[in-house]
Amino acid sequence: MAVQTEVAAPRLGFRVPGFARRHGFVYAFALAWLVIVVAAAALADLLPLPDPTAQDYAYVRSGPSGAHWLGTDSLGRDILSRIVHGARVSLIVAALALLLGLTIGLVLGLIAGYFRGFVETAIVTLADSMLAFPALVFLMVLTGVAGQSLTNVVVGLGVIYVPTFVRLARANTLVFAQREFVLAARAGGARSGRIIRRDILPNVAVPVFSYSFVIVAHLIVAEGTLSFLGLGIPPPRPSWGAMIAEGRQDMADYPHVVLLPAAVLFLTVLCMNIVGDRFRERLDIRESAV
Amino acid sequence: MTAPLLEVDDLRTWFRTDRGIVHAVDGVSLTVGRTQSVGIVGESGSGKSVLARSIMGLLPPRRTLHPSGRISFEGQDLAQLPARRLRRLWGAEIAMVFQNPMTALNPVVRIGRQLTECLPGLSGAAARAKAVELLRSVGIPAPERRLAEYPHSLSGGMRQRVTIAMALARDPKLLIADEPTTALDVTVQAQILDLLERKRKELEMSMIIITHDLGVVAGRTDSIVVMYAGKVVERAPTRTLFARPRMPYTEALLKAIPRIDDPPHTRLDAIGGRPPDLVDPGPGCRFRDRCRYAQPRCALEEPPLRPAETPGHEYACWFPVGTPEGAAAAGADARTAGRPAISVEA
Repeated sequence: MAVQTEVAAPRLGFRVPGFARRHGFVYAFALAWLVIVVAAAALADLLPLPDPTAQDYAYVRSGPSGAHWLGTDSLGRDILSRIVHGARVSLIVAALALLLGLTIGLVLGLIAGYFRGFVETAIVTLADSMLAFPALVFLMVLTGVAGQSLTNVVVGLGVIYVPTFVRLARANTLVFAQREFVLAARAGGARSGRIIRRDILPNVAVPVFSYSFVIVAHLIVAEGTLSFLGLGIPPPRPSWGAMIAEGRQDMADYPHVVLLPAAVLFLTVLCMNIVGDRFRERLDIRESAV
Repeated sequence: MTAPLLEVDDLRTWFRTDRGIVHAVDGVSLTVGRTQSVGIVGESGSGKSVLARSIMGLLPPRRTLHPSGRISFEGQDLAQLPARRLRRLWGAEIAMVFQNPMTALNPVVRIGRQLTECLPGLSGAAARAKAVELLRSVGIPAPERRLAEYPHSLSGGMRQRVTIAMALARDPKLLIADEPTTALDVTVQAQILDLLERKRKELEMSMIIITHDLGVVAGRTDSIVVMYAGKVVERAPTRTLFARPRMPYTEALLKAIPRIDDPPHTRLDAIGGRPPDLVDPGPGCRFRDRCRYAQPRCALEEPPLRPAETPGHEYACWFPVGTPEGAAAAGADARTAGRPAISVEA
């Protein structure tokens, strides 16, 4: 088998890397892009890039050049550097908000699904009323009252996704709480807390974590939207949404100022969704095999 | 003789549903002596699993009613024990093996951890060694390797062996096996049943085997309890029950076992109809609508459980099989053939 592919590969003109051959080009590309984005965000300070807030008046709204690979914006700031540093803000906000929403949602969902009764009614009603409240209004009020800061944006976005995780965790808990291994654990004298922690949580975590990728993609878009509306991370810290907002006025004459961060945002969210979908598929297959 | 290990007295377990109260277990008494094995036989919905779960305290508390009954284990009334004592009892003194080994193991936790979780007080290497020993004792080859595996890489029979190992981890005095072989291949069934019987003898424990298949308990248990529609309809030592069933339901169950020496295409002697609605079973014998010997009296009065001449044998029937009354009823049935089995004029 291996011999055959070795022979067949040169006919394409180039050798397909093993990973891409096994998992498909799209998935390999998506994964590679995400690795690049995460690495860039993590290593932003170490990369040989200009300061994202430094203004170079010799190159205002310039196109790509040797000095500024992706050009500069209306204040002469390096777009590549701002995209890289913006990735950091986007990813940090998305990751922290996810962590917050997931933790609270998972705990509440497990409690609601396991104990049922009054507790469940209370939690589900709370989650449903949160879903009914317009998210943007909530975020505008929050940043209006508590001020614009990284913490407030993270808390705001995290809270908005709590009901999603409550529902997901509760629905899965309901399924697994019916399984015989839970009954067996109770027959073995285990307490409710222990059953939730050791028997139900590991099972519920599978769908919840695989769904997290999709939620992260949502959160990146949400952060971009907030920044675009001027409700996100306060300037001059770069963020993809803010970059798009700032370049908006000159879009007709200097489209690259808007299109580059928009393209990066688009690509990152797309790749996140592709990887998230693949994750979910694989976990589903294992689930059904069990 | 010392006190029996488990004593269930007039247990009633009812469930509140939208349609009314379901009388799932309706006045069942049961004794299990030390080192004794008892088979509980009945079809789906006869209340045998609910009985087991009542003993184990595994019923949903909000829907369950216990209007009467006493369950005592080693002389202590389980209803009087505080939750903390009960938790110490379950798993350690009374353990349970479940019907479906596919769902009785946690799919995302390794076998080793699931087993060592059943071994409180032991940790690390000691727990591991005991887990290996347990797996070996239930006939699992290469037990050291199995510890690191997940349940999905084991076959159904192997998984059931693992759940048995888990149940036996703390040397319980009573093992309740709820349909332990129903989800398994026929060829594996006998192995698992033999394993259970061997472990019972080795560990000198008592065992309750719940099944819908009389073949499962034949020759393996000391006595058999036949349940129908939430009630005990016959109980006897295993040998007596097979030789001289009194209750027509037991007789019908025995006839429904397919025989290997029957000629091909022999029609299976199945029991027609379905068990009665347990919301409102009405007066009279609960088996009357499906009984081939049913008489007018069966629809009016419920037969109590009464002793037969054979020792340790009880049955609930007005016209028991193999007695003059039964023969008369069978004859009456022959005369009224073609007409409904029972017709009650007001």
